[in-house]
Formats: sequence, structure tokens, C-alpha cells
Amino acid sequence: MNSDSSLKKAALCLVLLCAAQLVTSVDQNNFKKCDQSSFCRRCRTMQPGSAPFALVEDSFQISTHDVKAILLNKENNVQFTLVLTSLRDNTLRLFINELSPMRPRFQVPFVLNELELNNNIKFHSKNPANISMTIGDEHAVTFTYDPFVLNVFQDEKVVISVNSKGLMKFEHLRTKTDQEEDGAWEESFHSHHDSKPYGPTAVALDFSFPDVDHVYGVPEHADSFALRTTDGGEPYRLYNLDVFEYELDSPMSLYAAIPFVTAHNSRHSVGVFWLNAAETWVDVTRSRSSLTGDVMSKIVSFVSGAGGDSEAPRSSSNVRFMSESGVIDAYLTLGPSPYDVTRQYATLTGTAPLPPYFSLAYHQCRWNYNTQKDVQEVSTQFDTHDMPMDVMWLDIEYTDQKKYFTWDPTKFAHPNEMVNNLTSTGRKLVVIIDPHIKRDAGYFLHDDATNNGYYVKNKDGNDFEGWCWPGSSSYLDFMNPVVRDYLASRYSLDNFPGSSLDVHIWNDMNEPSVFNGPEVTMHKDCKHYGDVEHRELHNIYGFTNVMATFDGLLKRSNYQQRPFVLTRSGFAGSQRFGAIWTGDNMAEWSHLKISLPMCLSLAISGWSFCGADVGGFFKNPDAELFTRWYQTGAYLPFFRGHAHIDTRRREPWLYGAATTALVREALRARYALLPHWYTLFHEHEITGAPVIRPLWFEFPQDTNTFSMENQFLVGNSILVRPVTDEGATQVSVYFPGPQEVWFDRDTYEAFTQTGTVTIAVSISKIPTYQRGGSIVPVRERVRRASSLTLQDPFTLMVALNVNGTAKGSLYLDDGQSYEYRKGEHISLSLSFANSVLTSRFASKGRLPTESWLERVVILGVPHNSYSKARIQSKSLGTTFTEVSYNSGTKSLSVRKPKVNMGEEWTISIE
Amino acid sequence: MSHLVTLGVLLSSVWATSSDVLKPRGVSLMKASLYQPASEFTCFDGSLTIPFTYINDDYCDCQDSSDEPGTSACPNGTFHCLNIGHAPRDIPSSRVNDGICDCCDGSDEYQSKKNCRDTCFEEGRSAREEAERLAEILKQGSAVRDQLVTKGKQLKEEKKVRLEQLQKEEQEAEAIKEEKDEIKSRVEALESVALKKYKEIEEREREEREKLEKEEERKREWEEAQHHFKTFDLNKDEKITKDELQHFSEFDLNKDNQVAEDEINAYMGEMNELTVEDFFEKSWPNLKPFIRHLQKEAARAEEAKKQAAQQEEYEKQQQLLRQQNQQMRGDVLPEQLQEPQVQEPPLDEAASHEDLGEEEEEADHNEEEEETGRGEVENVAGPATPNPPKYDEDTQRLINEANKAREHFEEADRNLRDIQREKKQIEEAMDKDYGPHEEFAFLEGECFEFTDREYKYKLCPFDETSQRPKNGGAETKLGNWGKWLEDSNYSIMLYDRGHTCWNGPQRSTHVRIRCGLENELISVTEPNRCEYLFEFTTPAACVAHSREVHDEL
Repeated sequence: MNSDSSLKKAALCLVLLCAAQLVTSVDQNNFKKCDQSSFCRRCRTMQPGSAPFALVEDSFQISTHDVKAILLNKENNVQFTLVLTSLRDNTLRLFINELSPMRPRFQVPFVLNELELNNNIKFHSKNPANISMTIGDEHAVTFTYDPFVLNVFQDEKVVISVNSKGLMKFEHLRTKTDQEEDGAWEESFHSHHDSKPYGPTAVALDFSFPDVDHVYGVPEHADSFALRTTDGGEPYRLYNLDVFEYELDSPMSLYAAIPFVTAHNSRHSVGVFWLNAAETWVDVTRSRSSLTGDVMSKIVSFVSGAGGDSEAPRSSSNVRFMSESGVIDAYLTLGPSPYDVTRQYATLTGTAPLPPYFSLAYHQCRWNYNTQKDVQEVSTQFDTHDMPMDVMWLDIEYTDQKKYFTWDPTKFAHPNEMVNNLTSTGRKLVVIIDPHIKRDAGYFLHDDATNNGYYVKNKDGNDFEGWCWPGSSSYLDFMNPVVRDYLASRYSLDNFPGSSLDVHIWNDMNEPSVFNGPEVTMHKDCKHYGDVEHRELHNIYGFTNVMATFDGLLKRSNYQQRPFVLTRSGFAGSQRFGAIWTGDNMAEWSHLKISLPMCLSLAISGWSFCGADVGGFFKNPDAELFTRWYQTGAYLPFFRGHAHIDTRRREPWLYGAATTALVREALRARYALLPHWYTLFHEHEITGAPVIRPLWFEFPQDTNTFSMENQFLVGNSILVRPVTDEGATQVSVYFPGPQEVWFDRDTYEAFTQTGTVTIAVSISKIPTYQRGGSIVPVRERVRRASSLTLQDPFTLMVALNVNGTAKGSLYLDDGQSYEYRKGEHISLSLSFANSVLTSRFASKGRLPTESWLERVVILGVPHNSYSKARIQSKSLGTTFTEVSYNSGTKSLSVRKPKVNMGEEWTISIE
Repeated sequence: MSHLVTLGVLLSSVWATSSDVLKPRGVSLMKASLYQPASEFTCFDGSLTIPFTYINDDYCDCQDSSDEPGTSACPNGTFHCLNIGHAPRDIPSSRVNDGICDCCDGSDEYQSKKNCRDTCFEEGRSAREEAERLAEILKQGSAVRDQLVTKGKQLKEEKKVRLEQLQKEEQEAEAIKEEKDEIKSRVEALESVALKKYKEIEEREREEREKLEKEEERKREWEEAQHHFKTFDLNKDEKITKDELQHFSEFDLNKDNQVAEDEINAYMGEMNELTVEDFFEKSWPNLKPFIRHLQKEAARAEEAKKQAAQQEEYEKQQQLLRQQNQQMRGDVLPEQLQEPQVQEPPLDEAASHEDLGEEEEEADHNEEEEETGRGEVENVAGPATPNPPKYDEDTQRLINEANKAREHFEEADRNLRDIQREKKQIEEAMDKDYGPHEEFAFLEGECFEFTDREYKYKLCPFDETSQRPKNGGAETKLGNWGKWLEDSNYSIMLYDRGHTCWNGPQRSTHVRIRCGLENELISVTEPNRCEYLFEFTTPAACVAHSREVHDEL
């Protein structure tokens, strides 16, 4: 008895000690594991093949664009409607809902573009076991009645199989009985109680991809680019959370959730978009076709019907989505190329509109620049050190006591003066506006929101109160169109004194973050506009916040100026409103490294405008890490230095002269390439192609690239291999593709072999390569800010492929307005063949420009057989200029062709 | 000559015409001769020779940027503004024609849409006025500084003299202390002999007291045993049997729900039945520890219950705290959550480092008190004596003498230590660096304050820096005098080893010192968390070569 109790005491002390020491990394106990979320537990305990769903054979109705049928839960005879719709551009929608639910089930608004139906469905055949239709020329589907399975064929092979693992779940709405499972009608997590008045409402469905070993997506996670299998571990979780000091290589939720998965093998790519905004978990498994009872093993070619097939799939990847509530609304994008999949997904959820030019340049942030004098001094220091910088940022401390849309009366007493100071050197300001509102009587926003019922309500119908930066706060309910309009109107220049059209917006903490809430967010039984529980729409809260902000910025300029908004939280479709960053990372090499797969995952899931806090948010980077981070950040779409309030100041000149010079070079490399970035963002707006891409987008058959995440492509022509290891003196670079040439962008050295090459990397070196066959436009004149360069001349980097040809494009406009949509832009198609470089308009757009061509550098010219260049353009007529050949680098330079970029021209090397 | 003029006209867009010397645009007068239009141009680094027409043709030929002094074509070039009427200036080439007027003569924007006005004369004039004003401050300050140097040297001399004096005084005081110590020992020996018989009396009284206490204890035990006897004597026959004891589950040591005989034999003293006397003599000695154990168990169970309740409360608070800590951007939290105000557990590890400095100081202090407190006269008769015995006349006299000797000794000892303390202070002060000419010495012992919106900051030069909330509250030390920063040429003081920040480093302060007519703390900022920057002006910093002069009067 005695020893027993002393043991207990020892154990007690241990627990307390641990609690006291848990300060340096994520406290996993604060966040749910699957078995702590009752619906996930219920979904995950299901055995494969146990889904009790069967299609009612005589319920099928087939039209040219859809197939409807009744789906029956054989255990309880609850009926569901199933609709398969054919959409434009090789996309199918699978929708399943209760036939007669007790109350309407939530369907996610705002996310989808208008869907265009495709009238290409034809009945093909049926038999007692299944029914088949063709969809267009290349696709077909087969429904197996019992158990319900949907197979999608492309060129007679199954590419997606739905419910073939038999793990579908659809918990119908019901009245409470005594035999409910634990956690079905209420559950608790730590001290937080979830009242769950509507009981169990989960939906789950499995999708199998035969012959596929690599699946990607479902961001945002701090994990590998190619998804890991989750059997035996936790599923990937999609539930937007403010995770303090997040852990790497983990399927834990982070700030954003995009339930879109891409499956790729060397023959094709397909995607599945699971449109559900409730808490969602995603299991990834891999199975062999020999598994008994696996429906996949019985799947055969569409034409030959039932029976064996010599080319049975060797293995399959299976992705199962499990959501707490809502309906089953899945979109199957059938590719077949990676670019087809991103375009098809963009057709559903939209692309990012062309961002303002400045937003692709370098951003300087810190929590916090202390005073407006501080802001001005930092801006001046960038000039003193001759480092380009476009945007200064203000974190929460600029406000008057965390009341957004106000300024600290002492530290930021004259914001207009501060903004004018910045714009006088072509710079901008971004300020933070969070969705939590300080509960302070007399604060206009709180008073408006209280008086008009603009806040999210708790389960009892009163304004929900939680803790955030300002202390006691309430949260705007953006589900209400009036509230979105209200927030939007706050951004008007009249309503936000101190702001101007050069002040842009950062929406943070919009998961939403609630310091004292369950898992640091809002209770699921809170109520939104339309009597919708927070549970149903949690993952689009941040989306709606940014949607309203974007709208506000559009309206404040009377739709003349492109907004720039940065958000931490987001959902599918958020790419339409702004950029995202990977949240509160850490000044550690591993965090630098993970920024690549994190942004790549977002990029192939529709959201290209991504970056990580350069330098790392928490902790202090040393000079080497700091340098490598700038060198890496310069090649990610969103490029911002940021730091936690407890870190040492780290403006880029504070690490001594050597580091200052290195960072200056990294910044200049970014600025030189801005025309290319801008052209890629424009391409993204039109085609949905990601701005940064995994190698397999361009080399889909090269299996070596499928798991690669330490190198990537900017567009299709620049290969980047950041140095992300401490003390690295060399790195391995993989050069993909047969018959390709890759030119080192610093030395012009050509790499013609496929495979891995060891490259020496001094601290000044970040290996980047231009692909033979490409033309990349750069602006070599780097000025204080990108806005000062819009009329500057260009250099064209022409990298020849094995055939001695190259092509590229250049997009130009005013960098800030929407006039480009009315034709005020220049879109050039550049090509080089037979020693002739030509520029032709690729669109009808025209825009007068002062920009001219100052230099052409042609890489991969084997011999010096040229003496001059003949230039022809309308305004110059025919002129000649000299060329110079460098036999060491095998490059030819054309001196000052002087042609205007706003007209078509030809340069012949003679 | 006419040849040159023709060339000048030809290249009018390339050549600056505002100067008497013909030179390419953006070139300083000093470098003008390096650009000779009559010949080809070789880049300064010798890497390339180009026709002279390539100079300033808006195309970068030279890797060292030397061919484009007047355009933005080269990445690392500079553009020279003559700025007649003000100071000439070199700007990076990237600022040429970028739409921003950098040179006051506007020469950098010769092709941009920006119409830059020549403001050199106005700017030059105000710059000259400012320079004059600062020169005047410097002049006046410098005169004051001369006096401060004299004063500093005088202070140093005074210290030296005083130190020598103290050394002498110390020797004398040591001798006196020795003498008094000797007297004290002698008188205390006599006192000790006289007190001996009183000690013996005390001893006897103590023994008697103890005997009495023992009897009382036995009486209490008897009563307690009787009480338990009555409890066990279920049939009230004044005898206890095994059957009776077997009714008490407390004796079920092996927890088999039965009280076996062997489990109670030990308490029956090998008898079948016990009278109350038997019980007291034979059973009670064995039973007593067992009963005591049971009582303790019960108390412990109660305590455990209480602790569990407290623990639960603590865990709850920890849970909440952890959530807050996640975001710990201090000021946003509910007051009660800001610091872990949890009663449990008083773990040493949990002790705030912030307090350590203070604790150490306190410990030093206590030691001193103990030293001076030894040998008080009241202790002679022992601390536990309830009634100090009355001493006879002789003894009392000896005691009085001894007390007096002790007093004298204490006084001598105190005197010596006072001297030593002062000596140490002066030695420390003489080790401090008051500037190359002792010009900052006069600041020792002074304090200067600066108040902003929230805090009152204090600088006590060569001692410490601190802050105190304006609306009351404890003072926080921002640093103790450390040193002059190397390479700062006596312009920056470092105060370090201040109070530790919550979850952060020890506070420290840089004090930047500039020439001004007043000794004044003019601003305090915190550029890095827990690293403060004080700006202090003093005439002591007004030396002729000092460039930085405080520009506010």
C-alpha cells in the first residue's frame, strides 16, 4: 500500500515535469487522432467489403448527360439517390444523397464554378450483374449492382474504381435510440463538449486507381509530396487548424484543406475531388490484385466483359475519404495527362487570376515592425544595401489594441505618411486583418456586428466568444452574404483611413483560430447563418473570409485594381482569391526542405501562389540557413521573409557583408526572372497549369521522378534544385528525359545525359538549369522595386535543344489593372529555328511599351560561324548588329537588337 | 578643340553638358580623364576594348560596368551626381531613369517622365546651416568636456588619495579588532567558569521535567489502551477473547475476508483471554504500531483524495495554458492565464530563472546578518530555558563585563569592515573605464530617466539600466554595467546580465552616447526582444572628431 502510493506520486511528478517541458514542439495531445473523432473511429473500424450498399437494378435512368439510380442500404433499407453526371472536359460527377432525409443535408456553396454538362453518355449494355454506358469516345462506366461498384474505363482499362474496397459509409439522419454507439450523439475532447444534436452523419467512400503506385495532393500537410500509405498509422487529416510549431512528416491537419487527390502512373493521370467542407480524414492504401475478395481482381476490360484478363492490374492505390457530415459529391477528373487533370480541376474550382506584378517580387515582413519609423528605416536600408524589395508588411501590432481597421495612435500615428514614403520608391504595404473581432464596446466593428447579428452563434444561439489576439473575441459569420458585404465595405478607402490603393491585405488566423476552443478552433456545434452547424462548413470558413476580402479590395478600386490577399487558411477554390503561405514554420533545415513538397502539393491541387516564411518563423536561423532559404525562396511563387516577435531582427543585411551579398544575389535572381514568373501566372490563369511543377508533369513516363521532391520545375523550362542541407558542398541533380539538354543558368554548362549528376555547390550556388528548347525572358536591370522596371528592356535566354530550336513566350501588361482582359496586353510567342529568332503576337492584345530587346543570349551553339545579326521589324526596317561568340560556354550573344517588344520582329543570325 | 566640340554635339544624349569639363554622363570630375573620346575604350578591369561610341549607349559591355556610367544598363555601376550647390553623390546605376529623383540636381532622371527640379541650392543651404548648428553644439560641448576631463582626473586623484588613507585606516582597525578580540576571550573565559554551576542547576531541572513527562505519557497510553480494549470487548465482560478480535476486519492482513487465528495471535500475547491489565502490558505494545499505521493510512487516504482533486484542477489549468502557450503572444491572454499560477507542484525545476538573481543577492545579505548576530548575550543560558536563573552579584558582573567586551569587539569588527567595503568600492571604481580622458567619470552615481507611453526607463551610468511600469509595479533590471563596446570608440556602452525574460534571454542594453549640451536620456527602444537601445547625450562626448552630434537642442 505504501510503496504503491509512492509510485503513484512518482508517476504524477513525471506527468507534471513533462508538461512543463513541452514547450518546443507541437503538443499532439491538443489535436485529435482518428480514434478520438467518433465518426473517424466508426469509419475506420469497417472491414473491407462490408459496405451494405446495392444499386436497385430497375431504378436506372440514363440521359445523355447523366445516370440516375437508387442506392439501397441493405442493412436498414434506407434509400439514396445516386447521380453520375458527365461534365465538360473529361470530368464525371458522382453525387449521392439520402432520398428523403429528415432535414436537408449540407452541400458546400461558393467553391464550384458553374458546371457545364456534357451530352455524351450512351447506354452500352447490361446483364444481371451490371450495366454499362460509354462516355464520349474514350471513356466508359460500369455499375455493378450488388455490392455497388462503379468502374470508370479509359481506353478499355479501369482508371478509377469506386467502392471496390467496399468501404462506403453513409449515415442517414435519424432519431436518437438507446443503441447508439459511443460518441454518436455527443462527444467530448479534453474539456470540450460537442452536443451533436443531429447524431451520426458521416459519409465515406473509397476510390481505387489500378496500376498506380503514386498518389499526391490532399494538402495541406507537412509531409512528403508522394502520399504515404496510412494503414497502421493515422489517416491524413483535413480540418483547418492553427497548429503551434507543427511537426514534419506528419499527416496531422494544418491550416488549409484541399480534398483533391491526383493519381499518376507512366500511362495516365487522374484526379478525385471530394467536395466536402466538414472534418475529413483520408486513408491511402496500396493493394495487390491477388487479394481475395478484392473486386479489383475481377475487373477486366470494358469490351471483353466478365472473365479473366492476362493484363490484370499488378497493384492499385486506394484513397478513401471520410467526412463527418454533408453528402457524397465527388468529381472524377480523367486526365489523361497531368496538365489535363490540373485543367479539369481548374474548370471545377477556378484558376488564380493574374496577380499584380509586385506581388511576385520580394516581400519583407516581421512580427512586428514596431513603429512607422521602423517601417521607413527598414525600407531605406534596403536601398542603402542596394537590395530590391517591393512590399513592407505589418503584423498585428500596428493596430490599436488588435482592433482591425484601426492604427496604434502612437506607433502608427500617421499611416498615410508611412504609405506615401513607401510608394515614393515604388513600394507597397500589406497589413493584417484577421476575422476575430475584439469584444470591446465602442469598437465600431464589434458594435456593428453585435447590433446586426453578424457573429457566429454558439449552440445556444448567443454570440460565440473565444480568445484570440485581442483577448475576448467574436467571429464574423461569412456564410451570411450581408456579413461578407459588410467586411468587404470595411476595406473601402473611406472606411479604412490610413489605407490606400497601395495597401493590400493579409488574412491570418482564419481557420478560425480560437485559443481556448477545441483543437484551438471553433466548437462544431456553433451556428452559422441559415441554421448551419460549424461542423458542416469548418473547412470553408477561411475561404469565405478571403472571398469577402478579395471582393472588398475589388470594390474599393471600383474593380480597376487587382487585389493582393494572403491567407493562411483555405479550401479548394481559394486560389481564386490570393496567395497562401505554409504558416508558422521554424528556422530549421528540415523546414526549409519541407517547403518544397508542401508548395508542390498545393500547386498541383490548383493553388500555385504558395511560399514558406523565408528564414523560418520561429527561432533564429544562422547565416548559412538564412542564405539557403533566400536562395530557395527566390524560386517559390510567393517570396516573403517573416519572423516571430521573439526572434532576433534579421533584415537581410544583419548577417554581415558576405551574407548580405549572397542574399542580394538571390533577390536579384528573383527580380531578373519576374517576367517569366508573370508569364507563367498568366498561363496559369488561362490553362490552370501549375506555376511550379513536379518533374513528372513534363516527364510523365519517367518513374524516377515520381517520388522526387527536392527538385522541381518553374514552368516547363527551369529546373531548380535548392540546397537544403547544412554544410552541403555538393548535391545530386537529376536530369530527366531522353534527348534533353539542360544548361546551368550561371555557367551555361550543358548537361546532356539523363540521370543523376553530382554538382558542387559553394554557398553562392543554387543549381538551376534552363531546358534546351526553351526561351526565357529576363530583365537584367534590377531596380529598388519591380514597379520601377515595367518599361525596362529585356534579355532573351535562348537555350537550344538537340535540334537547334527553342520556343517560349512572354506576357506583358500594366501589372496592376484589369485592362489586360480588354486586350491591353502583349502576349508574344517566341521561337528560334534555323538560326532565326522570331517574335509573333500570340493573342489579339496590344499595348504600347517602351520595353525593347537589349540582348539575346543563345546557349548551345556548337561553332562560331556567325558574324552578325540581321534585324527586321516594322519600325526599324532592316538593321544589323554584332554578335559575339564565347567558345568556352558555347554561347552566342546578340548585342542590342533594340527592337521594341510591342511589335513583331525577326532576328537572323548570319 | 573643335574636334572635341563636334563630338560633344554628336553625342549630346550621352554627354553631360552642365559642367565645364566635357565628360560622359554620370562620371565624376576626377574620373573624367579616364574617358578619352579620341581613342577606343578599355574597360577598367582590362577585360574588353570597345569603340568609344559604346560608352553610355545603354548596353552593358564591361563586366565591371565601367562603360555605362550614365545609364542603368550595368548591374553594379554607379552614377555620379555633381549636385552643384550641395555635396556630390554616387548612386547605383539602377536608379538612373527609374522615375525617382535621387540626385538633388535631377541629373539621374534625364530620360524619365519624372520632372526633377534642381533642389541642390536649397538642400545645400539647409545642410550647411545644420552643419553650422552642429558645429556650434560641438564647440560649446567641447568646452564643457574640457572641464569634465579636468573633473574626471580630479575624481581619480581623489580616489587614489582616499584609497591610500583607507589602507592605513584598515591596518589600524585590524590592530584594534585584534586587541578587542583578546579582551573578549579573556573575559568570556571567566564568565564561562562562573556560569558553570548555573548550567548544572539547569540540567537537574531538565531531568525532572523529563521524568514527569514520561509518566504523563504512560497515563495517556493507558487511557488509549483502555479505550481500544472497550472497543474490542464486544460482550462487555471486561475480557477480550480471540473470537472477539476476529470480528475486526482490520486484522485480516492477507485480505481473504477472514480473520484467521494466526493473524491475531501476535496481539493476544499467547493467552486465550485478556483482562484490561493484560491487554495493556502484553498486547498493547504490539497493537499500538498497528493501530497507528491504520490511523495514518486513513489520514493518507484523505490527503490523497484532496491531492487528486487539486491535481485535476491543475491539469485543467495546464491544458488551458498549453493552448494559450501555443500562441503565447503574451498580452492577449486572460490575466489569470498569463503566468502559471498553479499551487502545485512546487518543483525546483519549475522555479523561475527570473528570480535567481534576486535570490542570490538575498543569500549574500543573510550571510552578513548571521555574522554580525553571533554570540548575543541572551544565548548564554540556552534558548530553551523557560525561566533564566537569577545570577549572583559576581556572576552578573562578569556577564556584564563580557557583554561589554563583546560589544567593543563587534564595534571594532564593524569599523574594519566599513573601511574594507569603502576600499573595495573605490578599487572597483578605479577599475572602471571612464573614457580615455576620464571624461565620463562624473556620470558615476548619477541617474537619468526617460518616460514613454508605458515605462519609465532609468540609466545610472557605470551601474545599471532599468525600467518600471509607469502606473506602478516592480522595477526590472535591463542590465548591469558591462563595458564599452569594442570598436565603438567610446560611443556605445553595454549593460548586460539583466533580469531574464520570460521564455527568453537575459535582458541587455546598449547605450549609444552622442554629443549634446545636456546630459540627457533622449530615447529608449527595444530593437530586439529584451535587447534595449538607450540614446544618451552628454557634452562629455563632444570631441572634435566626433561626427555624430545630437541634432535636437
